[in-house]
Amino acid sequence: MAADTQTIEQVQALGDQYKYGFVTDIDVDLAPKGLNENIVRLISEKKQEPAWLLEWRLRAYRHWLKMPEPKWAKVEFPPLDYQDAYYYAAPKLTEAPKSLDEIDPKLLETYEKLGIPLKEQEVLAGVAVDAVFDSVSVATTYKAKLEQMGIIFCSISEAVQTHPELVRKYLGSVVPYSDNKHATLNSAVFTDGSFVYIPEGVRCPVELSTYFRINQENTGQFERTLIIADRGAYVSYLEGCTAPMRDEHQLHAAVVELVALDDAEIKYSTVQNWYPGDEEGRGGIYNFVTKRGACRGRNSKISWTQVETGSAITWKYPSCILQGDNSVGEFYSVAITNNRQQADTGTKMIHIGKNTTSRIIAKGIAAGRSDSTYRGLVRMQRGAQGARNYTQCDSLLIGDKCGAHTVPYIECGNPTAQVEHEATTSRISDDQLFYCLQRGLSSEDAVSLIVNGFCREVLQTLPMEFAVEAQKLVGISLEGSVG
Amino acid sequence: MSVMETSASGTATPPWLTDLRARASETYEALGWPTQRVEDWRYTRLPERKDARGPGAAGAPELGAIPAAGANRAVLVNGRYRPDLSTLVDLPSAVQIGGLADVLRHDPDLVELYIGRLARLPNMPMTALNTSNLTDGIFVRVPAEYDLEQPLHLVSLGHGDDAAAQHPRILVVLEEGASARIVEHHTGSGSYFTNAISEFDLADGARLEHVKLQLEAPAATHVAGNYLGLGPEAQYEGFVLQTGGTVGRNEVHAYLGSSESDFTLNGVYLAAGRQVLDNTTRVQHAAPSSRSRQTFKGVLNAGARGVFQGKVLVERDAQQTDAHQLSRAVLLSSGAEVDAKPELEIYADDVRCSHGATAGELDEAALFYLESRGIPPTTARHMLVEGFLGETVDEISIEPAKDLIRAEIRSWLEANVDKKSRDPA
Amino acid sequence: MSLLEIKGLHATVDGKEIIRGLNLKIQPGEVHAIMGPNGSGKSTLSYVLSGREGYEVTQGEAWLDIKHNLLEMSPDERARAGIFLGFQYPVEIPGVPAMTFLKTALNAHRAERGEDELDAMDFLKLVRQKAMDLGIGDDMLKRAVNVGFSGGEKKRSEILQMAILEPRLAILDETDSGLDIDALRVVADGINALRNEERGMLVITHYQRLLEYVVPDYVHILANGRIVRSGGKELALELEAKGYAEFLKAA
Repeated sequence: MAADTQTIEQVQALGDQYKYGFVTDIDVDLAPKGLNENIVRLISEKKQEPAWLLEWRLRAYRHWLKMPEPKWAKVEFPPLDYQDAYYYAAPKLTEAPKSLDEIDPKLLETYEKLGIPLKEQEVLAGVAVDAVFDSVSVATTYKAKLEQMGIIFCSISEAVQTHPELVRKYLGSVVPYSDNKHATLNSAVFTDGSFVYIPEGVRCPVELSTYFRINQENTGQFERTLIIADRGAYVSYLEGCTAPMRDEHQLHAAVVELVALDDAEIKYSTVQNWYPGDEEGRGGIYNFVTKRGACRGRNSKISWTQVETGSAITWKYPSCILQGDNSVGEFYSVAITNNRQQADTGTKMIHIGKNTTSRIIAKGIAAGRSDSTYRGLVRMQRGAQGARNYTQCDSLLIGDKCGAHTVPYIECGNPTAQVEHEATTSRISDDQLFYCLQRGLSSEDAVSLIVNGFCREVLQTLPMEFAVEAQKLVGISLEGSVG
Repeated sequence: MSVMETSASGTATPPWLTDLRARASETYEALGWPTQRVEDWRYTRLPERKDARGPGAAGAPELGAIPAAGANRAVLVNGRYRPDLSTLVDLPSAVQIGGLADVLRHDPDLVELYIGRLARLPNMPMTALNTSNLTDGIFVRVPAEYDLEQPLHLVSLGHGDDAAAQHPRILVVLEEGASARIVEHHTGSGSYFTNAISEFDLADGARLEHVKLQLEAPAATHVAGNYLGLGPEAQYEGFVLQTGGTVGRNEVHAYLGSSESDFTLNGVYLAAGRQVLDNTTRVQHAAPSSRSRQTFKGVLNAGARGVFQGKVLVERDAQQTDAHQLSRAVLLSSGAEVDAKPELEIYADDVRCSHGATAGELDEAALFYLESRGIPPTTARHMLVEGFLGETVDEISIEPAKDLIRAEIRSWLEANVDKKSRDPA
Repeated sequence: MSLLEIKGLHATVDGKEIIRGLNLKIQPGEVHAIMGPNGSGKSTLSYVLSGREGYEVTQGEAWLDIKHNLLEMSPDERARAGIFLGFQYPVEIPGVPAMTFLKTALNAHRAERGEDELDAMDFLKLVRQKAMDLGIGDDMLKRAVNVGFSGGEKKRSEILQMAILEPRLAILDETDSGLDIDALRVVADGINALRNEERGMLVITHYQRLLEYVVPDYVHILANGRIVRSGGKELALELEAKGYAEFLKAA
């Protein structure tokens, strides 16, 4: 397919350490710096939101003020200064664009550099892209075709206007506004994100995709995504993230909520390549994300796949609440840290319904002076008759200045439930490396090859378009780790 | 408090001990009684007994009922050494076994060399509480190259009601190349609270086989810290059985600070009723080429909860570490729960580290197979549980302790596992 | 008087009906073979008769020696009444030594018959003798039940258990599966040695091969949960020649 070739070429063109570090120069509509009730009101007003949503935001904001910072993750950073950031930045547009033609050409150029030419993709790739530029969704492609099938795929702000009943019913129903400090902040100030609704019995024919990108200096990105798969529906959703190079740290506190009803399936794939900071740990994104899916219906399935190579700090636990009988949760993860990066990531599988099953495959790779932690919870509730979990966590250390950690919490409260957890730690052996070198590979290619092999099980679960890019990223993010 | 004053009266307490107790007391006051908000205690609620600091009335302990697990026996009652109940025969003068208070009187410098060196106070409220009450206990020292072949049976008896607290302290020193076999046995009667600390200092090439039996009275509460330090090429082979108490928590903290040391720790816990039994281990590999192996197996009946928290820490310099840890639990009926947190924290790249954890019920196919051969369901369940625990118990090298443990398992099965304990969905 | 009598048996697994009205009578001393394609209900029949959980009888009866109403008995009671199931896949039981297992099983049978427990020496003698006939060495007996046994060793160990427990009725479920020709001969000799005027056998198999060694008195063809044809040992040969399809049409 043409899109694949193009993606491959673009990925191959990756030359520098961080090729996505360019800044787009466009007019920006900024709210004043800092966070207070007025900012929350302003965001809501700018978006012409209904009263109930403003109320919800304000409840979240007031709750947030009282919440302590979460301390349990194995990450270290100076206290966040919430007042030294902008909470609203919208590209200046006189009115909302009706089609791609009306969009600022510079924006489109940015996407072009990112490797997601919207026009091309709309025609060729069969990927519908909801592009988020800083905080406001600028364009949603492929819409007309999806609309015919009754699929709603738009920005969440738009959904608030056009489908308020769906948003009101499901927003905060998986991640309540009081969930944790970062999610609560998001609930108060989220500016945009995607909304997907797949109606009963519909199988979404294309992979839905959003490309997130943080552009503005000192703007946090607080997108909020809500995906609902009605009875018997299926959707695969791709999320890619990049951010330009900045000296300061930027906070990214997103929330993703998934709801799967009876017999529905949601597949959510992420390739996260936020700016990781430089070799000395200056700059880089703080990626504090709450992702959670509820398998509400019988036989429903939610599958998370993530390839995390970017961000200075990753704090993220895509989880599944397995309520419906026979529901299935999956978590496939590759987390790569290099230089001074820190990642504390994993999942939670909460088994509530009967015969629910979950599978966790997590691969952590640490290089440089980085720390990579897998943290996961598997909980078998009293009523989880016949539930099953299998977990495999493997860590790979490259060099002797990094750390790789595994912290599983396994709670089994039903005798008929079965839980199995295995974890190993290894390194790239000198023998493996030498063997590759002797066959003529450069040491970087050799590392990339071996690490890709180590991650194979996870990368395989990615949709084609992503898999190629992800494989390249694995190699790029480890550059300079073997010398 | 009255007993402490009595035992201290007439002898001058060495200044370092006064100082140690004061520091411990300060630490304890600062940390406070552990609650489930503390990560280390998230799975176990320790019923608050902070006011119960004094030992219970010294009643007549029933030593006769305690099976012997070795020719030589040293006995503590409510944390106080009782020479009248101890039998120590055939020991060469170089081997020192006796009351800690006695050694503190005659040779305080010797105790100072070792005590509290492994059982460090920071972040450990219960260790601090024990240390702040330090007056007596058992002291064992085996001289260099001596092999104390006969198993040594250390018995700690608790006695008293809810207001009774005892803080038994055991200090074992194995000098270079020495070896010993120790059975540490905790039991008693009443609803007393035990907060035990045992320190095992193994010098170069020393070897210790250690069996810890937590067989406290059903209404008692047991918290213990076993602190181990392994010198170069030292070897530790440990086993923990927990079935006693309403709440039982056994912590093992092993510091592998020298190269080529070898640490093995296995454990079995059997819990029924409202019991909570917790095994918490922390193995710190701080030097190259050391090895650790841990296997814990739990069997839980309705209403009971088992906890396994095992942390393996491999420091930057501990290359060629080989560490493995396994937690397996069988839930016999609904209402039972197990919480496991096996944790790896690794900073060296040339290592082999792994852990595993499983939980589930007895294998239905195996049960049916046994029953299809005419074996009654209750017997079949007993056989499968004994089979599940068997491989681990078989590894115990102290024979009298092994027999005692097998008997404990059997009587626990008789008392707790019948065919009714399996309840269909 | 029949040793086993099955009348109008219907059984379901996970709500799906697998046995649909099966009738069968076995007299003492007879060897019956049940043949059928995959999914015809062969293994289900063996589990229903031995009482495995999850195999629900919805209709019908099964009697052993007239007096034992099998369907009302627990698996172990059936075993002690004389039902022996040779498993298609013998179960591995880590940690339980084979000898302990055999001894516990035998003594449970003896207690049922009102006999004293066998003492350790007599038991050892008995097992060694029978094991030798089957080419089972001491090392196999020292291991945990079926753990680390090869396919052939597992099947020999099943026959050894049968020899020691001396059942009234042996149900042998695909005993030939996974055996090479030499192992098959050893196992078949073991089975034949246990044939006598009192004991009945129900040999369940997919292929005719085993029946060359263990020659049945009667052959039944099972299809869709019912016996669709019965005959003498020559029926097996006819089946081998024509294949199952021919008989399924009749079903």
